[in-house]
Amino acid sequence: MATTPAESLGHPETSFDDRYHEAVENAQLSRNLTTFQQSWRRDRGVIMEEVDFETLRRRMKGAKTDAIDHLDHYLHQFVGQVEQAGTTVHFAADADEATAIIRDIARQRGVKLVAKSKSMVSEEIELNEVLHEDGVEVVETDLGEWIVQLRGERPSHMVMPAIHLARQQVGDVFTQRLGREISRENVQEQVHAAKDAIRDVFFEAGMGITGANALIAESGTVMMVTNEGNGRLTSSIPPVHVVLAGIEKLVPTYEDAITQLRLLARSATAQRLTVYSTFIQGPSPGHEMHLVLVDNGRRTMRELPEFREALHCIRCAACANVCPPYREVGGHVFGHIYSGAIGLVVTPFLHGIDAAAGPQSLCLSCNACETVCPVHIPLPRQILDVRKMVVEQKGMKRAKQVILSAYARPSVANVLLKIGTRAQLPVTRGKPLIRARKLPVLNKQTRWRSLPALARRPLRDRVTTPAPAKDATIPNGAAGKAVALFPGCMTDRLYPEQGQAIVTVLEGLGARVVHPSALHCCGLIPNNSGDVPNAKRMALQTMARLESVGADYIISGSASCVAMMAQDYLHLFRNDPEPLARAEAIAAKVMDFTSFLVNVAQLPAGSLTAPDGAARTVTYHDSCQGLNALGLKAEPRVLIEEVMGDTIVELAENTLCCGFGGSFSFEYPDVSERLMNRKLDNAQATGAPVIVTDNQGCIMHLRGGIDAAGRPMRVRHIAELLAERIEQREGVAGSPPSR
Amino acid sequence: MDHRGDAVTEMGADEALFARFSTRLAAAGGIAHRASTVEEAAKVIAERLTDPAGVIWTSAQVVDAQPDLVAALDRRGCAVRVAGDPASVRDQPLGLALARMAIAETGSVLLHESAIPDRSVSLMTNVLVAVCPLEALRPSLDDAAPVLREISRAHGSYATLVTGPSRTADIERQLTVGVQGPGEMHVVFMPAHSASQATDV
Repeated sequence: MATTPAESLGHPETSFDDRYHEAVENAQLSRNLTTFQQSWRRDRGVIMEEVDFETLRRRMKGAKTDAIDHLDHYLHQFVGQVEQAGTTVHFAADADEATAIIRDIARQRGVKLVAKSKSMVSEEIELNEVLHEDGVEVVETDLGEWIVQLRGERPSHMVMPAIHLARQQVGDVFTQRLGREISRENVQEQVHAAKDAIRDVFFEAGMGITGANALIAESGTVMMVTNEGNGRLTSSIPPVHVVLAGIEKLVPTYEDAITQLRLLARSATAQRLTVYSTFIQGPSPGHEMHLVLVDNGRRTMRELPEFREALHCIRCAACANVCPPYREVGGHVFGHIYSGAIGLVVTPFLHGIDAAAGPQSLCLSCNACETVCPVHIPLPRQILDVRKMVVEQKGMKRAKQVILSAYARPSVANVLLKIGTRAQLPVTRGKPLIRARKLPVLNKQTRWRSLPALARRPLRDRVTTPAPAKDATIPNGAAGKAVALFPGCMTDRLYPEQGQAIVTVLEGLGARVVHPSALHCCGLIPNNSGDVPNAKRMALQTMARLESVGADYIISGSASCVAMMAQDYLHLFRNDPEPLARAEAIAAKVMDFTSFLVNVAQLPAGSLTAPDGAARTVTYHDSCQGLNALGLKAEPRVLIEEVMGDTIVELAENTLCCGFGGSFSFEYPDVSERLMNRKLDNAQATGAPVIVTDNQGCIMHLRGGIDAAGRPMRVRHIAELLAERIEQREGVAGSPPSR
Repeated sequence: MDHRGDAVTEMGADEALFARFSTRLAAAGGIAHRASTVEEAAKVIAERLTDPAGVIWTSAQVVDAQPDLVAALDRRGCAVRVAGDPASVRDQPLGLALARMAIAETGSVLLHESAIPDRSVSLMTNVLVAVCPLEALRPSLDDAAPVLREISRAHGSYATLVTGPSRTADIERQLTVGVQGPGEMHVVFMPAHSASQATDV
């Protein structure tokens, strides 16, 4: 077989680091997957419009919760029905038992050839290898599976196994393996060549093996969907039909199965319904049917409240289809056997912590997966819980641990940052950005983006005492409210002017702004690194500081910090009642800056337009934590377009992460750089001179990329735009600007 | 449930349902026909034969449920033959199957083919025509649940919701029809009460 750069990617024995490096050096892979993700996203959006996605996924989540919570009840019901229909049921505790059961069925019936329809469980238990060793040939009958089988690879995607390949690569392997010339360009010719090559297998096979998309408890029915029709042939023609399924595939009723069909087709392939949705109850007359129900770590997951919901997965792979790192490296790297976000979650339970360690580190916590998951699994949170398991069991890189531990101690961090502020001067020469291409170390991490200089005076030194409450510049609902500002450590140390802008706006609206002293990091940095002790330590510090000031609201201009304080604290302290109660009280008060202005201050439309009436044109970058975790979509747009009267030219692919991801951008600079450049290319294509956003991580990353490449754009925090207008108003009203 | 996106028409209920079915099946790559007489249905089916002397393969289900249709095809000079096992009709040009019900929401038909010979044509032929009594056309996928439940009372059943021709998008997500199932799919709605046995849907 010809050797291509992607060749060893899909091989199980290749190490994670080698797979990663091969993937990032393979530009075609990223091109293939970019085209795929873009077209899927567009089609999925169209087909989802006809249904109420939130209602449907709530219903599906309800059905799966019922099924998993009452697993043994529904298993009992299902098995009773299945056996009444004449199917033999086998339970397999692990992969070895499952493969042995199927090998023995094949041996007893003298099966030498097996036709197989797509089954992720068969990949999980490495069934083909076991049967092959026993002298049984297994032929994959799904086109994508067959292609990867010919290439000696694993599927790189749960629904579209060969989506990492271009047609030319498919044509090459067909030509080689079929012994005749197959077009490298004509996909239809390729499909028909494959059809013809596979077709005899259905008639010659002694056994057909399929997966199951659902096990319907009420009737003992196996539901299986395929588009090609191979599943129906596999389950109809060979005399023995073996269904291989995880025990979590149960759904209570036909109604639940129908809900699953509606969601699965739309989420998996952006179809209304898969072409063949088949309901099999018992063997066909004259045939034999076996059902192998596999545990292999699922019951362990079920006992862990953090991971139980992962058993709700219907294997649509939508989580992979929106994942930014998946786009750059593919499922052979972003996953082990199961790929995409759900793959990162289930891998430690199905294949062990070593298999999970590398792939999980590729998640940049953008939360896009959760927004499209048709059963609303908290995937980003579960991936962080896997990361915490990895850190607990395998430790963290020493340097990273030292940095995190130092940073978790405010006094130490303070001293270090003060030293840094002076020490940087020879490099920065007082400028806000460091042209890091000139740095002798970290070149791979920084040659493509400039780094921000530490502010000479952090925000904490600029806003120490509360200013006397002012009259509101415009009538609004924030006037007179006590608001505690949580600036976030990046604002404090890197971008104090953004913190000051928030203060200007809030004070201009007549709010009484209080500044809790000695605030430090909210704990997001260690939390996202899987460092639970330091995350808890910093969260407790932050909560204590915030509790020390009485405030109606805790406001932050950093969407990431808000998501941490309002959502992640509750999970971090889920098993500690005392801090949990405090976290709940904090979460009830925390609000992001844009939500506060829209929902509490309720700024009237047109109240902050430019004095000369001229509308600015900007583009808006939705930060992942803002859009995906906090659901902020309308808020910033209301402020920019309605309140300030400016114009937004929307960014293409606005749901795609800018590639920052905190320490991710240092650990995976290749992926980070590509995502950043895609974001900046899309931003530049809008023609707007300014990118507005609400998150300091994105600001740092995008400004760095703009500076390093000399792009003609600026990045500004939305508070800076609003503060200018407030100051202009105050100037017009005759009072001096606040600062 | 509410399925938005379709204009409310002033047509009769049957016509509106058929119109939606037709649109949705077309979106999946299939073609819907509505016959006002059995003769018209036979004509539509016969026209699918590229070779006028060719055979129309069908199942015992169709012969039992639509004897008038089979007779009408016969009068048109078509050779209607009942398939045996799947190998007997492998890659044959035209197959005729019986739909237990049709779903307008998705343009799907429900084939209830528990015996393998009944399944042969829908598995193997290149062009599949499913005939469905018009009264078995239902608006929503939700309507399939009680029918599937009824089917499974037999404790041994095989049923498929078929939505258009067999297809794949496994290579570069480019759509290609006609993989291991029929590459062309038609649904012919029969005039009301054309079936010899009342359908209980």
